[in-house]
Amino acid sequence: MTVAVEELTVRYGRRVVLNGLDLALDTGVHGLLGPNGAGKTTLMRVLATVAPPNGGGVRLLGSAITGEKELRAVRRQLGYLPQTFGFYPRFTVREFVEYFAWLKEMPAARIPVAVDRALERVGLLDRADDRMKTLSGGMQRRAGIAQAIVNDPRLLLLDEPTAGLDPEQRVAFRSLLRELGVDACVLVSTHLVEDVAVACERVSLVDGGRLVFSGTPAQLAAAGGDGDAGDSAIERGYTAVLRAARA
Amino acid sequence: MIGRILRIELRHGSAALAALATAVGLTWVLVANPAQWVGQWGGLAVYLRMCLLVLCPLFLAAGAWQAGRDRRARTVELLGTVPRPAWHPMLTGWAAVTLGGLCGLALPLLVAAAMTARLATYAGPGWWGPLPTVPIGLAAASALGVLIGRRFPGRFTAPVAGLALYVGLALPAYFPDSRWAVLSPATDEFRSYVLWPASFHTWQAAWLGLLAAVFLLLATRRWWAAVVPAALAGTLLVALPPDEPAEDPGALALVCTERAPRVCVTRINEFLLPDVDAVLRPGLERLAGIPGTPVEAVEENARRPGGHRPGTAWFSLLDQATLTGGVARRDWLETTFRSSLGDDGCPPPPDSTGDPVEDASWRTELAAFLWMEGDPPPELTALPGQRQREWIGRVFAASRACDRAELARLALS
Repeated sequence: MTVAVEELTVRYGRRVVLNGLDLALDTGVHGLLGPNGAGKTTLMRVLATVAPPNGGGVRLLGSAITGEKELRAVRRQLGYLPQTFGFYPRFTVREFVEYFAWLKEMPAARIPVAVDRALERVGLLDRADDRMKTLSGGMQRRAGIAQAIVNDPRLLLLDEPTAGLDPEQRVAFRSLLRELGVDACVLVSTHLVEDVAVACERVSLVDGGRLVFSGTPAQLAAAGGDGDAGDSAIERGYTAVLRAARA
Repeated sequence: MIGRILRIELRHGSAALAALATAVGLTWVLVANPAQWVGQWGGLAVYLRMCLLVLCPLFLAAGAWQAGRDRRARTVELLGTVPRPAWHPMLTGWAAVTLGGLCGLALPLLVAAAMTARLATYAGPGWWGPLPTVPIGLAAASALGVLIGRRFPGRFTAPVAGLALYVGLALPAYFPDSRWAVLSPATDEFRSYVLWPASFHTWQAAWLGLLAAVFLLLATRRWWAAVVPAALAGTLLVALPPDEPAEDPGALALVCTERAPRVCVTRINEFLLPDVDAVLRPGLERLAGIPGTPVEAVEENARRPGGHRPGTAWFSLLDQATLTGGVARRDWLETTFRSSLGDDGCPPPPDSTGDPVEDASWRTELAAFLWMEGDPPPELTALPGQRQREWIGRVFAASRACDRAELARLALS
């Protein structure tokens, strides 16, 4: 398993954000759904090795992170786009991605080609020499995705990656996700269930700090009925699962 | 690859801002006080050390600004997921702002060096001695900025910390005799005609280099590693450097006009001699032939304690050079020259108001002063020419002898 989480607990002060969560992910594109405050971003931060768990076990890329050596080894194979994506506004797009390739300890000889490839995959190669601050919000987000994938990560964590993307860009992004999911474990946290329906092979639904559903998008859609709220089958399934979990 | 990352930081990181700030800062202090350095290699080196009073706070602010960049750019979380140790980008950022700031100094320095080369009449040995400490002191300041910026990454940290360092560096100016002033990279203890031993400059460079290492290691939270340079720096504190500056006789050698009456300046100020001669010669020529009056005017820097020379009038060239190499304040130069004609070491006369109306001795001195200016009072011009000159000679003799009674007797009205 690329990601194996058991009984994961995370607290912020006295508030329990993740409460004994179990999750297992392997190669492929996985959607992470849940209402606001369900714990999605906290889970992503734990998997990105930013936030330490208060309890439970986390194994990433086959190893438990017990020391600095394992942590660095995992981080070299990690790609992460945080929900609040920051950047250096005066850097060009190429410089920004190059800088993160260096931070990810990629071999120097590989960096120029890898940067161009990442920018090409997100459709920003023609804007590579523009400064980050001159890009639109959607383009900045795509630059964020480029830095996340520049090292060809085995574990790619994308928190709200389609925020700010126009419909055409979202279609292209879904195609990119499918491409990335061939060799890597991609976890996409989103509110947009239609993105999950189209691009993800599996979907996990979190509510109240617990995993309340894990299956394929089709299984999630099948969980809903005509009486459930939603404009599509998967949205109805989403509301049905949440209602059942809270019952 | 590190070279490529450094180039990125230099071009588009905080380094560019640091370069601009230091270029403007140095240009400002150079233009504001040209008399300190124009035409003197030693003066330029010494003044650059004084400029650290402004440049160190700028470098510190640049370091603090660089260290707070990740928080301002909201990249802290993303950086928390990368394998490269945090001190790598921190050190790169520090190197970039330091290099950027130094590059910013290059243009104004080159212009100042070109202006100095055009005018300088003396270089002498070891004039560059204070220079190597400059980049080391600035690197230490930016390292301190990085340390502060990482601990307090707010937007106001850089200006507040810069201002605090400015105040801190200015403090030794209020305690000029303190031996601890040598700890500061910014000093006004140096003079362009005074040479400090190489061991002194080496001590200062080592002290500041060790400080930079301590600051950087503390910024990366390597507490134990910081102990070594801190201990070495402590050792240096115990053994303060030798405080034995020596005047450079070559710099203070006199260069004089060929024709009498002679006007002499020190060799480091030789480029001012034509202007000085033009200002002082009329006064000297007016005195020519009058017994007891000066036959030459000599720059004050060459005066030695007890070196009283009756035939010499002294003048000061302190803060006198303009950017183009001329004398800045001709009237002040004339005034210092005239005031040295009498013995300015005389005690002030008791019960004197200094009012020429009430005090006859003052009336005498004022009349002599006006004669020197070429605008003698009517009671003096009423005398025959030869009598006027005799009268002036007696006034100067009484003045040099501090004989107020004789001056009062010489009053013409």
